[in-house]
Amino acid sequence: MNNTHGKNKRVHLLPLLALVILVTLASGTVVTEAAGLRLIYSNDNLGELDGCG
Amino acid sequence: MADPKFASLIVNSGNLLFKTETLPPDGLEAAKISADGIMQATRKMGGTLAGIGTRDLAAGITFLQQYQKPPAFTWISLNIVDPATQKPLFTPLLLQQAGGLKVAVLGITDHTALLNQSGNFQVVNWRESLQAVLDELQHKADFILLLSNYSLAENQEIARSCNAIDLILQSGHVIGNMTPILINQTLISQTETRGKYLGVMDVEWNGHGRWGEGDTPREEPGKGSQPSTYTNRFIALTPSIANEPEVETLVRQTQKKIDKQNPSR
Repeated sequence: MNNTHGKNKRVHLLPLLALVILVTLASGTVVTEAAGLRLIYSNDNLGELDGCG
Repeated sequence: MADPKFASLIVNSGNLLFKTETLPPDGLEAAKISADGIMQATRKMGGTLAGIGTRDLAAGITFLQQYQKPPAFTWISLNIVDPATQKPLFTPLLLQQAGGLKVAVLGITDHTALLNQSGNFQVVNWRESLQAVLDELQHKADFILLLSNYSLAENQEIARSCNAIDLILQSGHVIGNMTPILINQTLISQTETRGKYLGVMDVEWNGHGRWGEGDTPREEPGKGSQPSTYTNRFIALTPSIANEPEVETLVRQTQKKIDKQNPSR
């Protein structure tokens, strides 16, 4: 079954690109306090290079 | 989003590479190309580890093992084992230094959901595999994070059975962002599927034992130490957020490779 369509894939790549920006911003932290932990997490997400809903 | 108070750890709790647990023969190569692009993009974003969901095994265990390149990138699962030796085929746990905290990251894969027709690996029930790893960790980690591919019901049972786990981040099974819930002093959380949201949890950690939320920690009579607190938010990944050029190029290259693989599409 052909379930991939190039045009649609391009449209739905945006979430991946948006994620890059957010993760880059979030990870640029400097640690000054021992007990502070920021977990940046995701799941079940980027297997969808060709679509996001 | 940067905050000097917090040391960051980027984690993916599983099902990163494929959207189904089996792949049709005519879609296998395209799916592999896509997965390869996802791996490259994840590493460019600073991702260094992921739990293994059942869908990550869709192209076979050998395909996944080629991306097992610690310390650059580590796939974590404590219960995917060699059938002959019963030894883990991937990294069972990873100790990460995050600021002043030693964080143990464990991964566990849902043994009930996997169809392993090749027989070259086995997924062991968490009841037979998790506690032994936790026992080994005693006094070695300040914070224990489990990346779990099990359902919420199973994760709640894990939380009730294993007191040492501080946080479970799920993959699979849930539709929509799941606000953290507290079960027996273990938090459980998960983001929406399909790349729509990123979860950000800021933790003020005071050691194993008690969780409170935000600025109003839950006090328990008779316990002297301060509870640990957290705030959690889900960030929508909308198209209005600007693209990162290097990864955008990578995505385009991946797209071209997929189109080349499927010239008629």
